[in-house]
Amino acid sequence: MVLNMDSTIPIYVQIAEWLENEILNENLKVNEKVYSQYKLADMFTINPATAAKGLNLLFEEKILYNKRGLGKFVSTEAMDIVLEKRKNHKLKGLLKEAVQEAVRLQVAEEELLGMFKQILNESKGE
Amino acid sequence: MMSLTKVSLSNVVVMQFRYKLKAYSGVFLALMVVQMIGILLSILGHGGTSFSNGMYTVDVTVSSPDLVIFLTMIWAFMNAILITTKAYREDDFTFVSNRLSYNLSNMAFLLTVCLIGTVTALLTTGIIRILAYVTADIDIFLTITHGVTIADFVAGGLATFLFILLAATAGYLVGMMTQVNKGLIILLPVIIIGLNYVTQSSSNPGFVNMLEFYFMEHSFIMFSIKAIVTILIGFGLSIVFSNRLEVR
Amino acid sequence: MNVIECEGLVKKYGSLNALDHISFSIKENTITGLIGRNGAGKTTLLKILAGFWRETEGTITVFDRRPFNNLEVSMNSIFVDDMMSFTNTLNLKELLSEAQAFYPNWDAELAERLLGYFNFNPRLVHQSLSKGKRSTFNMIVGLAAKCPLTIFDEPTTGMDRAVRKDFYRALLKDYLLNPRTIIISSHHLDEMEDILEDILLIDEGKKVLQLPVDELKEYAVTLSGRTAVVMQTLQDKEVIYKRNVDIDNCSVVVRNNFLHGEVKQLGINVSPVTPSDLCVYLTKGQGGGIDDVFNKSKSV
Repeated sequence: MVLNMDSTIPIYVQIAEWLENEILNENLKVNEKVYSQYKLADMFTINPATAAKGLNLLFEEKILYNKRGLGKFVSTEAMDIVLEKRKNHKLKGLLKEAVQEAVRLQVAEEELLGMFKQILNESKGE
Repeated sequence: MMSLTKVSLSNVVVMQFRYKLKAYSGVFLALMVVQMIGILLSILGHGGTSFSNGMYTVDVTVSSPDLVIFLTMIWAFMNAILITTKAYREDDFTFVSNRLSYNLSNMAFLLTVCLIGTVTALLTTGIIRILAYVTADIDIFLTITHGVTIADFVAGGLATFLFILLAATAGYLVGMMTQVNKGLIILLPVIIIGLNYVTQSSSNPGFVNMLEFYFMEHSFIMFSIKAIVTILIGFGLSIVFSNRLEVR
Repeated sequence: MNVIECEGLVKKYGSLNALDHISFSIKENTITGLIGRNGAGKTTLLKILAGFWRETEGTITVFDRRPFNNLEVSMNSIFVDDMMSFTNTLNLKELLSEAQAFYPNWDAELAERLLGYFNFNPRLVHQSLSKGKRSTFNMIVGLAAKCPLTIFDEPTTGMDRAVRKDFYRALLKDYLLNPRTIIISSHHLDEMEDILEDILLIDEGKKVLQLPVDELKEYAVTLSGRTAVVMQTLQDKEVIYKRNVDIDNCSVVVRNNFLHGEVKQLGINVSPVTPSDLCVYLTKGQGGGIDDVFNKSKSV
């Protein structure tokens, strides 16, 4: 559970992603209280303001909701939002990068699709 | 938020004073050594010294009972200079301090050690030496040579204390001035000798006159007033000089 | 609420301006990293904040008071550096109990535990410690004092990497338990940037910038690629630093206030700039840096 401090991704985004993973893994369930900024700061040795920024990101995306004075909780639609976001942004982005690389290397469409299917089958076999 | 702590100057001075009693314990060791030397020299006989600059000659003859007190005065002078040095000051400003509390606690410390120095000096020389001191040639405040009353004894003790404290004040002022401006290390002797030269030329014996101002005062009350005023002025000037001093 | 307000602060040494009309403020209960090169004026600034040194011009307030010679500021702040002086007539344990008398929020238990954790012999005197150990002890005093304003000037001098890591973690944990205003000056920005909230960068006695660390991380990017292509994209960009990789390629650090897509399409590589590197670029003087020194010596 260590953040990648050298990554190009800002720490607060990494915090948000880590929390999203916790929701995807169902370590954090609907209507469950999420870690406070102080708890997160302690867990990852980061400034609490940075942790708060990560929490706020999820709050703005309606993955978390606020209970006055009690902290932030996982919203009912959290799972859907996270899945949607991951699919449309992260997954698409990764695929886009792969395609761009393929174009640069002048890999033909059929060859690329073949590679894709092979990797897909390998993952299923695991 | 963490609430700010209110402070009173006197509390800080007391804390600093207590810290100094523990931290500057070397001062007491030096006192013991100095007074031991004083006793030894006293037993060996009379000590005397004279110096001259061609224009005048000063002869200082210290009779045996005075020697311990004289050495204690030097000890007080040196200690006072010592505690104004950077190393000692930085110890103070490691913890809570401002320049006033720093000065006041130093003065409380000097007052205390001078008092201890006086008591031990008087004890080491012994009552007989005090009698000899009171009836010695260079009499400080008494001309009587017959029976000494308790009042005389107390006055003698007080006078001793004031002399030692005067030495400490002088040391503290000199020390603090040189801390404020290193150039004063050279300037100060020049000014003193220069002033001395001026006063001397106006038919006074100069430097001796300054010492006589205190040492030759026959009235105890007058001497006390002179001494206390001098001490207050000395410490006051030290506070004024060091109040803009940059520390650490 | 701001704990520190500083307006047009100047500190002169003779004709040299160690601080040159610097203005900034520091919010309550934040950890600020004071960054700058050697001789930038960091220590001067911190010593004025602590009330040790006198400002030449301008106004400075700490807890709404002028710090110089102010007993209340002294009581509510602590200044930790590697020159901290402790009497050698008292041992470490005795020094800690002396400190307790001075500081009302003193956490004796924390001090004791840290002393044990870092394997101090409590009977030693401060002067007998190694440089790193001395810094570690000073750090313990700084943490245990729990002053509303805690100033660390190069606190990690002589500490090895493991102790530095422990220090940052201890500082953060203690800050989480007892929020207070902390200022740290250090050369190890990359090591401690994660525990900081804000960064105050100064150079030649002037403020260069003051930003939350998160924003500083996205403040600039490096564009690298063919010189001809890179140059053509620079017109509308704020260039911070330029370096020729070889005859045809260069890398340029620019303000990150444009969309990366169009630049990427030109085949230019866009990479982030760490706060630590950025601070170096922002405070570089005139000329091309160390490379120029060698170039000139070759041409002679």
